[in-house]
Amino acid sequence: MAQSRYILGISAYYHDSAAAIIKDSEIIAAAQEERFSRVKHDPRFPVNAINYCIEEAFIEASDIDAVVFYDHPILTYDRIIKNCATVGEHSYDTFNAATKSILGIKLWVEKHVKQTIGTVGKLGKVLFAGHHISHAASSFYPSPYNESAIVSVDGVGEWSTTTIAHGVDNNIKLLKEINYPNSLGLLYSAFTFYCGFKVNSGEYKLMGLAPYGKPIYVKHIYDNLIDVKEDGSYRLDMDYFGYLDTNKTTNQKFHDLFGGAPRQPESVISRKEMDIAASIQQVTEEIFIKIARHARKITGSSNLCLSGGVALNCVANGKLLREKIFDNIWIQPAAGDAGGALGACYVANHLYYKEKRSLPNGKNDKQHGSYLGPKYSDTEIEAFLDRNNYVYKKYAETEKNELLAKEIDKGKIVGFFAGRMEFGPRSLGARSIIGDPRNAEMQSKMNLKIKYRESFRPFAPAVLREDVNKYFDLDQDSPYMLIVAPVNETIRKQVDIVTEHNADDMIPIINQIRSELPAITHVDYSARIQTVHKETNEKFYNLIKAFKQLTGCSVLVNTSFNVRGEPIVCSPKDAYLCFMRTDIDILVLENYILFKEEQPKFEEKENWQQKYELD
Amino acid sequence: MNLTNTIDLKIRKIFEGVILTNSHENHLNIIINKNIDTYYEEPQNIQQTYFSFINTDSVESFADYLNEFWMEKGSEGFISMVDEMSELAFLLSSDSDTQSEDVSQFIYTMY
Repeated sequence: MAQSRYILGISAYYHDSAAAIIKDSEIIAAAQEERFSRVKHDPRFPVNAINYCIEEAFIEASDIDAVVFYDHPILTYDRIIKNCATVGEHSYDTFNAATKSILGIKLWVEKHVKQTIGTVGKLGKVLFAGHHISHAASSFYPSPYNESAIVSVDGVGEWSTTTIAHGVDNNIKLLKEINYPNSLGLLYSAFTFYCGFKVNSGEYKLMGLAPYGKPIYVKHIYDNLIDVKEDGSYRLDMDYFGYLDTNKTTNQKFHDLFGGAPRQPESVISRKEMDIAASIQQVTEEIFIKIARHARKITGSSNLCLSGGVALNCVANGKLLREKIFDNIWIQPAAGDAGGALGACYVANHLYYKEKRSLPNGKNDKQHGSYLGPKYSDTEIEAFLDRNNYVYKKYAETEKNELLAKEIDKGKIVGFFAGRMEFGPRSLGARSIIGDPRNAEMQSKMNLKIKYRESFRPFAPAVLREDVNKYFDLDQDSPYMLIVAPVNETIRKQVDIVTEHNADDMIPIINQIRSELPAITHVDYSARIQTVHKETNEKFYNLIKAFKQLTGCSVLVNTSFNVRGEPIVCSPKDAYLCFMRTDIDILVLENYILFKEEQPKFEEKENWQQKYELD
Repeated sequence: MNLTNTIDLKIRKIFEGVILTNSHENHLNIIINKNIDTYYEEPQNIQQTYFSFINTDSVESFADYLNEFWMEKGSEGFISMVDEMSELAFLLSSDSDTQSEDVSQFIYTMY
């Protein structure tokens, strides 16, 4: 019998370091470093994630065949050098920082791997996979398609910012690219910064803000900032951007164009920011759709695989889906740099080793619901609870779900910890905070008392797959919460039009009851949908089923199990701390249930508000 | 002279020898042209774009790697100081701490 091949993939040193391991084309494990280190978007070498992956594979480090890094540091250095040469004398600070970063750290992956696990695998050297081919591989190889167009759009990776590729069997061929400094991701990030949110994490907030505004700046953006061709290719007018010669995305000319300085973080969000968000969101969607049309044209494929940070823009994904350019779309749930670790594994397996693909059965993908992280046994959980004298009760599965359904129906909020942790930025029912979507107060309660985050941000519905079209204008799988679709007309409610159009403050707009599921209905009657499947997460599926049996509603609010600025919880300890620091009422650790009021007095041992820098 | 000063002096020297020497031309695609149909480019650097190894076994071998890399890319103007770059990389390597509690600004950058 042939020996199995193990490949370890690593992404690090930008944002969201991660590790992944595959065995003979099958994903064994994948996790972001932030979940272990408790540093949000941790860019450091993913020591903990690597060790976890090796443990999960149940192998010794010496059993690893190849170690692959998801980015080529010298290609990146080439880009920096040419950027600096174009700018001239003023680029010294950029060159100094980039040289220390690339020649001092990013070049030495091999050394860091050896320091961590004592070997670089049987291959004897670290293999460097290209950034965008890693993205493309992360979406094509786990997808259900034998052949597909592949589009990757991000800020920048080495030189590329947008690529179109074609995947057939075990091969991927890059066909077209757009290169730095022209970048749809950096354009979106420029507006993220301008609207007072953090670049590389606040893009999601800008997307959430967009439906509150009117896209009145769209022409302004097209006339001044970007020239877009019919095939979706584009070029930015760099006179308006700061990133060629500073560490800022925008410059004074950009600020003047939009009538003043950027919004200060945490200050009041005005109508201007709402309108700007709506405008850049529309421009992004229009370009994204044009790129997809061109990908269809040059590949002839009816399937599309998406990755890169821009593929996390689930509003744009929903619009793309409804355009019906492709028959099928599959999006890598860890579409950002973390997913590059998984993509790098596949590059080694299918392009370097030329391993044949084995397609999943039926329409299922090979991502296993993205439940690829650590899980904890009953023994481990019980030992943790007993060691700390926490008060708990163990339940059988059915009894537990009946109890939770009743509590959620009463308005209680539950921290739900079950099975393997998710890989990627979304909580999908393994590390989730859940509540009743019918409850009109749920959105503000969860935002302000649980998550401590901005009140405008919407929550996502987790719905039984078979019931999705009862509530939403969608009748397909969306297991990774990456598609936004409208709430069905039949469950919508009339809002007060005067408030809707004239309020300068967001709060009265947010507080309007828009549907029978107000907690998950965004201001434009959209929802970011997760379809829940028995095959990939039976525990979460059964809980929603129990809620449906009790209430007739087969939807729960699902948000990530963390507070603002904190990485999503990984261990029972992380979950307990988050439970006690917030207004979560009930904690579920697998089959163990803990009620807040029964717990011993909680003594805070660290200043966690300071520890978790606001994102 | 301490290591930090040595490193900074070397970076300045490379900046003057490579960056400023090549600063008379534009190396980026930043010209907007309304008269063309597409801005898409054909993928370049095929091997490095897919997968490759980087030879960092010694100062000499890394310098050879950089030399070959820029020759293949048709960027001969950037090879004049590959020996200095390689020496600098090995110096920086001994000076870096990638796992400190305070995440280095040089790690978490857009570079």
